Amino acid sequence: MYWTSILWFLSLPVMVFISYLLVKFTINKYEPILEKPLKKANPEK
Amino acid sequence: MLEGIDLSLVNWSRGQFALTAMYHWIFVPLTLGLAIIIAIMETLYVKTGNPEWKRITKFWMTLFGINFAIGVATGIILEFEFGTNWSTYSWFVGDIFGAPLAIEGILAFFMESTFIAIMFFGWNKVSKGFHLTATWLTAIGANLSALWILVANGWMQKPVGMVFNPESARMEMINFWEVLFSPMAVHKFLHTTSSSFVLASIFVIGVSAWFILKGRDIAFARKSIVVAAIFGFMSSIYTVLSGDSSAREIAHHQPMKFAAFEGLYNGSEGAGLVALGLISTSETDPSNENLKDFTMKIEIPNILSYMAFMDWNAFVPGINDLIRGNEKYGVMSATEKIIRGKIAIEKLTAFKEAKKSGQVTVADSLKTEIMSPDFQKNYFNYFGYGYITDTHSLVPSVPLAFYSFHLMVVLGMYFILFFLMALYYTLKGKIHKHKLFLRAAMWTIPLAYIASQSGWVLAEVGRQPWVIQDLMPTMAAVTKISVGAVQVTFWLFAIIFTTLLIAEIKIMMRQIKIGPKSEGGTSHV
Repeated sequence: MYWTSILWFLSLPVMVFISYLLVKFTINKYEPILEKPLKKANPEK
Repeated sequence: MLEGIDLSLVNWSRGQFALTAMYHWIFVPLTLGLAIIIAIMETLYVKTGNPEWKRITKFWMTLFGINFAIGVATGIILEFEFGTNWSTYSWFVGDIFGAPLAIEGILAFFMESTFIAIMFFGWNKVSKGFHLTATWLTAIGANLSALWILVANGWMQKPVGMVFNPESARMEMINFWEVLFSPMAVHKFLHTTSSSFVLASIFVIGVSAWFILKGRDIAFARKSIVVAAIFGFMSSIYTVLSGDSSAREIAHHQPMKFAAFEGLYNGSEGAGLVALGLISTSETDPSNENLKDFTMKIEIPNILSYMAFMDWNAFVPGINDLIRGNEKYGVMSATEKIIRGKIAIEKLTAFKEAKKSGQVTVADSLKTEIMSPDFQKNYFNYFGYGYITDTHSLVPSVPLAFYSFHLMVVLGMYFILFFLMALYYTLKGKIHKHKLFLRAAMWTIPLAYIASQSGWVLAEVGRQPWVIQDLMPTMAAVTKISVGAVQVTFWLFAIIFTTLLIAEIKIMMRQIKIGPKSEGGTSHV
């Protein structure tokens, strides 16, 4: 009777879980780039 | 029927509620979204064992804590206002509105408060797994709190699962599940929470951009951006999908709101969606047959019909159709609805008088008639129209509804592009070179708040003059107190909330400048 609404409700945690998996995959793959220090420090004052 | 209602009292009460709700909504979306982002970051810490993720989690948790505390303070005042300013409304629908509000209170104050304590003070005192569970439960608790208040709001937009009891002259809940699983409530919740995730993701990227511009905590900032950009992008797409479903619900159950936010005065088959437009300010009087609704507009043909009814050629009623009626398409006129509403009110008055004068048989007969499905469907469903004296008062502010809707949509599209660019530049290892983008990222934070507030303006202004769609006009819901009292509290709240907001911004900026701390407690520059 309320299946459409229940499925919609469940889609939110599914979206969060997929986001987490994508984040985990991306971090694993790109960790060296993310941790690479800046060659030339040119901070804004 | 509503003689003696002071319109300035109604306006000031509305103004006060809008002020409180809008201030509250500055804090809530960040809480909802940041809680999930923190939980994802801590999960990465527990899964990888990398202490850098703990450092990242703790930094964002500090900002979450500041925002959470002030959000609770503004939310409590809102709940009190149902009693102080909207007591007629609370009395009329307390049986229905009270249930989700009570569950919201239980979840907000018990679930969140219990686990938030472990989340903040449990580091190194409980196991990693237990701490992570507490963080996720805080995030889930915060979002479940939002669910119940949005279920209550969804019910006001489309009342379901209830019956009117003439004995008590109140609405009574007969089906809790129908209230909870009402598509209007479900899509409102999903659209609101996912847009909150978008806002929080933009906040994380904006703050991280500041660190990169300053040339400090680069790895921390890059990693934060990756988490927020992916989560934000996914949430943005979800927001579009839930918003689309939400719009369809509005088209079916609140056609006047739908017509208002599209600036559609004259309905048509295969109606087009106005992508960009300037509402004509001089000729939008619905009584004018030859009105010109837009000064200029860019319209995409047939899209509005599809958006509303999943049919490219469906008829979408305009404001004039809804006021005057349109026999060809089976649209009832506002005058007919008013007549039906007055009949419902007269029946109720007759029932009350029969009860009072001890005419038991007459009272029983009237009660049976009022409670019959036929009467409920054909007369009681228009109960609120019985209070309406001017059909044009059924039209909400079209410019406000139109511009808030279009501003929300345009900014939403920009956010999708923004997340993709943030992710691309970061993964290419070049984000520090794109200083213009980094500055734009910081300025996107206020844009996210504007989009979020626009959504609420559309939802609440667009449904006027109703506090409960078709059943209770806003002017009938207000507490009859002195205008002066409302004015005093309005300004008092305005001053208190502004002070709280300034305090939050200052405390947050101070914490951001301190930056993420290493395990020893010192900031890592």
